[in-house]
Amino acid sequence: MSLTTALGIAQNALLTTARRTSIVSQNVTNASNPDYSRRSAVLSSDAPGVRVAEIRRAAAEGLFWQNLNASSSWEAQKQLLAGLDTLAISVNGADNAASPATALGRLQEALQLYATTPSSATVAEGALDAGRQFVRSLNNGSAQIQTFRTNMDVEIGIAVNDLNRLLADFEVANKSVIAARASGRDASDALDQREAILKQISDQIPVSTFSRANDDMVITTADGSTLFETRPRAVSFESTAAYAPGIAGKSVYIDGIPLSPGKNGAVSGRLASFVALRDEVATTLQTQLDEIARGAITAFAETDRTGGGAPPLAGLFTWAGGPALPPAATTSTGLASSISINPAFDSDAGGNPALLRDGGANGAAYVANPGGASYADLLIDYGDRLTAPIAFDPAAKLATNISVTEFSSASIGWIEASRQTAFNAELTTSALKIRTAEALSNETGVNIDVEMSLLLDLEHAYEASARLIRTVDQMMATLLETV
Amino acid sequence: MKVSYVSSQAISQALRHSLLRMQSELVSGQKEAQSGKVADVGLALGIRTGQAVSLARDVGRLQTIVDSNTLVASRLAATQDSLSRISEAGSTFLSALTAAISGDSDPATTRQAGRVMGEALTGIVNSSFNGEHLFAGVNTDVRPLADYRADPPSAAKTAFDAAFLAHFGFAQSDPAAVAIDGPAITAFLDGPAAAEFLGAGWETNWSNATDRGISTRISLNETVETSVSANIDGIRKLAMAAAIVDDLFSSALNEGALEAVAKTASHLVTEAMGDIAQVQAATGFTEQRIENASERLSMQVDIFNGFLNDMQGVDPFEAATRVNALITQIETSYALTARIQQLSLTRLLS
Amino acid sequence: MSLYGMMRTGVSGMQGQSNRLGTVADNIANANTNGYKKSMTEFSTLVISSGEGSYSSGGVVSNVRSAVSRQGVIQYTPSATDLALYGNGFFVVQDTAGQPFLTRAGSFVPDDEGRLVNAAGFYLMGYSFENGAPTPVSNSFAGLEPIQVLQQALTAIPTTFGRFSANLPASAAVVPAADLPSTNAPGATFTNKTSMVTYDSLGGEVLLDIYFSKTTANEWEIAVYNQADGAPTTGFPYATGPLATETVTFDGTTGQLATASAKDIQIPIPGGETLDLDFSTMTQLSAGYIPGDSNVNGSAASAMKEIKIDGDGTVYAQYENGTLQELYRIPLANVRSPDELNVESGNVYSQSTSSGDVFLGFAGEGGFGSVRSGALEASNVDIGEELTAMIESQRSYTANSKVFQTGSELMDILVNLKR
Repeated sequence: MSLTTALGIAQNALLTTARRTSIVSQNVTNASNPDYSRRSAVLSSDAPGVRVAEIRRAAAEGLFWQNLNASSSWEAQKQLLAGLDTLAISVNGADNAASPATALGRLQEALQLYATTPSSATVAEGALDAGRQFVRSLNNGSAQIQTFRTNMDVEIGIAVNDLNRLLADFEVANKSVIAARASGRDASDALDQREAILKQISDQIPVSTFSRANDDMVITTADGSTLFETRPRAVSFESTAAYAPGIAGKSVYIDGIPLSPGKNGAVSGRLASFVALRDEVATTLQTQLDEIARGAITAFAETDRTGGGAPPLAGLFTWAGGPALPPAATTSTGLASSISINPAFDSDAGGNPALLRDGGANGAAYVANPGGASYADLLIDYGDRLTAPIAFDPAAKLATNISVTEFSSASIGWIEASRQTAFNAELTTSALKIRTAEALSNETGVNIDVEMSLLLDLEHAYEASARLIRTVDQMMATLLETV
Repeated sequence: MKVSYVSSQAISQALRHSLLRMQSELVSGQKEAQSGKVADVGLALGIRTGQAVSLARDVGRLQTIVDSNTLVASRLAATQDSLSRISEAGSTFLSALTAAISGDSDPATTRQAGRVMGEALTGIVNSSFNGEHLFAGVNTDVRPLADYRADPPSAAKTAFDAAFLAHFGFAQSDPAAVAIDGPAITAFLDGPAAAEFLGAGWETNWSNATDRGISTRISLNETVETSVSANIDGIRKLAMAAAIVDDLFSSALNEGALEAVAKTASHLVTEAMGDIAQVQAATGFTEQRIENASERLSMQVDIFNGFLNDMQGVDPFEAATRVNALITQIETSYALTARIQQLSLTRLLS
Repeated sequence: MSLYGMMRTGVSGMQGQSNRLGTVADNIANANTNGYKKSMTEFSTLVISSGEGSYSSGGVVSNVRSAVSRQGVIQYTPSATDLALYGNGFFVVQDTAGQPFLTRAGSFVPDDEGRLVNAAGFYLMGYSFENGAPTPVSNSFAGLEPIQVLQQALTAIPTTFGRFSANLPASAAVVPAADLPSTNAPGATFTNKTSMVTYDSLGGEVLLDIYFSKTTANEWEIAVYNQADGAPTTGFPYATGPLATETVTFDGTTGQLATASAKDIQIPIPGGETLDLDFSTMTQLSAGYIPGDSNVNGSAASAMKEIKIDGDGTVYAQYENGTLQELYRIPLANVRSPDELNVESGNVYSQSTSSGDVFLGFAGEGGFGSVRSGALEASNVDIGEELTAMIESQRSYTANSKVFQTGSELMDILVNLKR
């Protein structure tokens, strides 16, 4: 041991303290950065003196994955809920005054009123207007659904772009992790960055990963498609500019494999939720509206009164394929958007609303009224038919043998049930996400107070080293004085 | 003792999420306290929302039926009133006829009574309510009866004259009519004349009304006929009595024949009175049914509303209490956040 | 015995002390020279034989020595090419003329040709990995060449072997024979798919699409295609047929590959070598498709990013894609008696007659110390020690001069005897 050695050691100590201070300050700076993992310097004693052997990055692999999965499902449920909210508000919700169910109720009331005073042209006009409202509700609903699908399509496009961009970023981060690991440098920053990107990726799509040599990470989707291996795989999606009923949305392809939106409502990741909303929720709702439209057209069908055996034909409501009725018990795709008021009834189109009372829009054979301005039987019959069970397509995912009015409210029940499920799932997953994020933050985050107290320690250590240097200096000075 | 690490971010985030939830609950709690309904029916009921919508729609529908029943009830009341007036007119006519049979009155007076009866009947039967002819069956936009004494002669008059001519070979006003005795005229009245009124001739020449009345749905699955047609026997018989008295008392018939006419008319009026009373009873019965139906429907509406309330309603007091509790909680959490934010070593170091 | 003798002894003492002061001055001057080893002046007596009753004063012989084997303080620096030795041994360097020397001064930087040169202008020597892992020639500098790091521009390694592991879903539906990926029919279907990046001979990335399709119970077809040949989005049909196909069978009871089943697949990579892909660890259990650890060797052509030197003296080139390639191995040299080495300018030492022969070895092996990258060995001079030595020498010198002065005064007296 010599004074120079002592000086050298003190010098190294200063270096180490400076390094540790920089770690502390990095920790403090990033205290509120959720993607930052706490660093700590691992010291190793070294002859002579001390050195920072390694910078250790706090990690909690299990929690990190839990958080990733929770965040993935939360993101999905959040989007699902938002989508369902939109549909409930714009098409068919409990509070939606323009929903087909409400409009159908109004039509029933108007029919009842008309049946009480069949001779009144005003009331006939009122019933016709209720019919118009109903048609408008279906037409609008159908249009809204298709707009919604178009929006979802755009969202998918954006999500796919995001995903591709994130994967490209991931490649860069992954490379720097590999490089740092291979050369034994501190990979913390690269790891932070990579984990942050991974978090964002898993918001879009649930992933699982495994690591190879030098911490080279491979990402696959939950169903096994490769997302990233050495370099990003193509996530491709062709958007559809405009949707109409019956136009199927295009799939998102990941490495050539179409993305499935998840089974039994276990949707995870934004991308899957958009696909589920576009291809399942919206189309089912469209089918339901189509079935409501079919039910209404069928309920108001006119029958041959002569016994001549002519087929029943479309009455108050008709459609693109009118005057024939749409085939029974099966969905005619797009019916809700093509349903219209039969011009024969429509006073605006030169028709006669009183045909509703008398029948005969399809010719004399279909006239039901034997004569009489107060003939109400047909009107009452229409009312009955609206509440009589008919066969519905099981594809609508509702009861198959109920009345069209019940069907229309069951449709509201369906969407609200989906909303409720999504809401509850959102609640659970968000709680899980928050809990895991908190736990993860506790495992890997920074506590400023701890860092500050560490800083105090370092301050003391620094002071002590400086004092040592001063002492050696003084000793040297004393020595020099004697020369 | 296990000392676990807590990150600064976890500390600062801890209350934030619960605060957000509490705030959104506060908003819905406020809404609930004010409206007495759950803030978001769809979320609260889920699949049962369909049921709630059905119920609400049924309530609306039932209410409409109750409203329309009021309308129908007032029409039936008007019908009742008209029938009573017909009945009254009938009684007056009957007393005139009784006088005529007993020979106490002048044929002209009797004839006048007949004419008054006929006009009153036509007037009452043609009365309309709310733009609809009460006795027109479903054919409410047409007057059920034409004026018998119109000029040019009504179809009814022409047909009666033709029937007379066909039966006797001369018109009523022909001097030869003096020769017609009581039995002969009775035979005419019971035969061709009756066919004019009580048979097919009525609908051809007299009435524009349809036999079928207006059907009305008075409850969800109850349909009743809520009008009285001018084709009911009572009106036919009264019309016949009035017509034959009016017509034959002004003709050249002898006294015996006139007495027979009066007798027949009196019979008819008596029968008609009975018929009308029956119709009145039936109408009354219908009115009763409507009243019952409305009552039932109102009850149903109440029950449905109760159901709806059970499904969607919240106790406003409970909601208000919840809002208060939430406010306290949020305030506490604000205070806590402020305190926690102060709890920092940095503050003590400087 | 003579006064002159005594005076000469004093002069010899002064000379010795000035020698010592010389080394002290050198030591103080090089107190901050990395790799400097302090010099010490050792004295020994020079005795002149004396007759009976007389004493002939001799003198002092100074002997300069270096404390070469004394470890200096390790100081850390941010440069990866700064090397420190901890423990025994020397780096082998050579001067511009090609003369080899030993040194512990390790502040190397690449020069314009990429050779690692230290502050004194000596080039670091090492064994190249060009012909495989080197072994040192223990008693000769043969085979050593200056380490040159910049010219390792681009390298590529074609893929030759790899492994793939996954669980294939046991309950998957059977793919009809006409739709199998091996048919390359448009709209061909498959049960699962993965893709892997491999490298051709030029280091180009070749993305392989690997399809797994269940053909019958417990039997799967593996078909490998070049993704670049595929139709957009869905792949099928590929411009050329499958690169390789293989059928594997699983044991229905254990879910592992059947004993008789193929366990690997030979894939000729377009423009590259044949990849031997091992999938012996694949399973077929009642779970979803779960890809497991998979890896292939090979690397893309990429530029060297930096130099990395290990504790055992291996010099690696690190490429942009993270791969490391061994370039050189730095040998350490030593002699039996390091303190006896000839000290030459520039902190270098050369073999002397008394030091023993130079022998070579690798760091960490056989008594050699270890190499630390990013550190320097400071000089082992202690200023305090030097200063005290200086004071000591000063006093000794004064004392010697007094001896000389006394001799001179005595001579004066002697000369004055004759008046």
